[in-house]
Amino acid sequence: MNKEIIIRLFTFFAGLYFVVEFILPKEINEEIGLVNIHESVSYGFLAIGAMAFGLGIINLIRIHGSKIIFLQKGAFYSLVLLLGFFSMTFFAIGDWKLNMESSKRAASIGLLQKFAEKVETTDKLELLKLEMKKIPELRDRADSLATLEDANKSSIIFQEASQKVVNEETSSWIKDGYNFLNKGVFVPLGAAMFSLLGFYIAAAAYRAFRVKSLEASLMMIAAVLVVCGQTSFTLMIWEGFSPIRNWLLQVPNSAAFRGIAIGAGVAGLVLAFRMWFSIESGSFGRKK
Amino acid sequence: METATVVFAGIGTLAIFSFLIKENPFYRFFEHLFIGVAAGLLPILTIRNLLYPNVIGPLIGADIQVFPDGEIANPYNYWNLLFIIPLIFGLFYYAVFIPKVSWLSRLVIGISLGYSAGLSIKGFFAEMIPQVLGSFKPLVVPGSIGDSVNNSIFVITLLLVMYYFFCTFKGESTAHNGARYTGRLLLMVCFGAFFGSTVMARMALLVERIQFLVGEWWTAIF
Repeated sequence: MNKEIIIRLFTFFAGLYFVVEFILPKEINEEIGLVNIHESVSYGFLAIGAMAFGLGIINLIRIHGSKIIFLQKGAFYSLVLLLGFFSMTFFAIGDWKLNMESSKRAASIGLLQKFAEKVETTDKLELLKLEMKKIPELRDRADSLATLEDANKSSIIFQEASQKVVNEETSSWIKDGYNFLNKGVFVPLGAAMFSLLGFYIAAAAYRAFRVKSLEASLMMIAAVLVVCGQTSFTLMIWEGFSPIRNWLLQVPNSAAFRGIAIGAGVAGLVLAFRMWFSIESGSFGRKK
Repeated sequence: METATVVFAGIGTLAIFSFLIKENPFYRFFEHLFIGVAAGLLPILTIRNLLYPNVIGPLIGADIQVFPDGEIANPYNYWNLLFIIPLIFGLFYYAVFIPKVSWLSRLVIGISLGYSAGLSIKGFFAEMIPQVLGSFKPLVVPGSIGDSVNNSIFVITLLLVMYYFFCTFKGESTAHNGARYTGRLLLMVCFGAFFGSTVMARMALLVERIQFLVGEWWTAIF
């Protein structure tokens, strides 16, 4: 079969699943078992998309790696980028591993709780105590379960231990490194980048809001009223700005935005059908 | 370590703001560091929060638990083996590096396009249609003149904006041109209000950064 037809078929069937799942009535979905597998199928599709992350990483390493190796212009900044990338990857994996260990401990405590609730023989009770002694948070409480009845009603002991594990503040150089890169680089620099845009928006406004036409005037008045309604200084001058701002956002802004959204939604629907039926053939490498 | 984190965050914030004067090496250093750190964090978070708990974990049986007496608490679900299929399809992305089978990468891109198209179609009918229906509010609300006026303005604005978008043909009629012009004016009001709230959101971030610099950071240094 032609490769292009294979690609088109896969594209069609990938989209068909979600359309069929939506179109079929709930009862039929339940009858044919689509309800039970829908979550797993959705995760499967998400997994396919998530695997593309590696492509980005490979390209990042190729582009910046070659800059460093051939000492091209900006090699130092590429080195900084790759150092940031590799150190964050290392510390994020380390932090994940540490968290996974504590969740595993909490899960094994939960499992022991379930086991304790259904213990019926003294042999199993001894087994339970033995397992409890292996877990630091439960070691001291193992001997308090003298009878089968004690074990069956001991859920509070396990809940406390599980809570202790969850709240445990583990300190290690890996956690410190992760926190440093997350709270010292990722979060503050991201916020600074976004706040920087505020200045550029203001500069753009200076050009856009010259009151030359009725349209520009309306835009400026609406923007000024919203800003005044949200700034404590202007609200000190006149409290009436706040209800005006709310009205502007809730009535005309919301209605016009809904109109834009409906227009964009219809356009998106058309585009979705074109993609689903592979009418956007350029994406499949067909020469025009 | 906490002090070092705060000091570094402050220096980085100042470096980013230094771009307002001119692009400089100090800014470029932190810009590249930020991109590197973000590129390192996001794939791991995706694996940690999405792929591992929902796909890889169930596939390898990481969630299987065994009671102390050997009884299996939650047995392995053999249907989870089917998760191998999306993972193999995901690997097809990397066929782009092998010229002989590079077409396989287009296959998996096709699958991604197909399912996102399917989701969009489903999303339009499941989310957009109720929104359209909800937009046509009652023009007369008994006992409340304010609500009646607001609902009327809402519906008229919506209709005129949609008219402006959909009826793009040239016409001689005054009604057609007038409706389009009014729609455009109402859009300007919307854009102005939207602009104002966007500026305020950015300003809130800026204020938070300045508070951090003059409060937490300054205290950590001196």
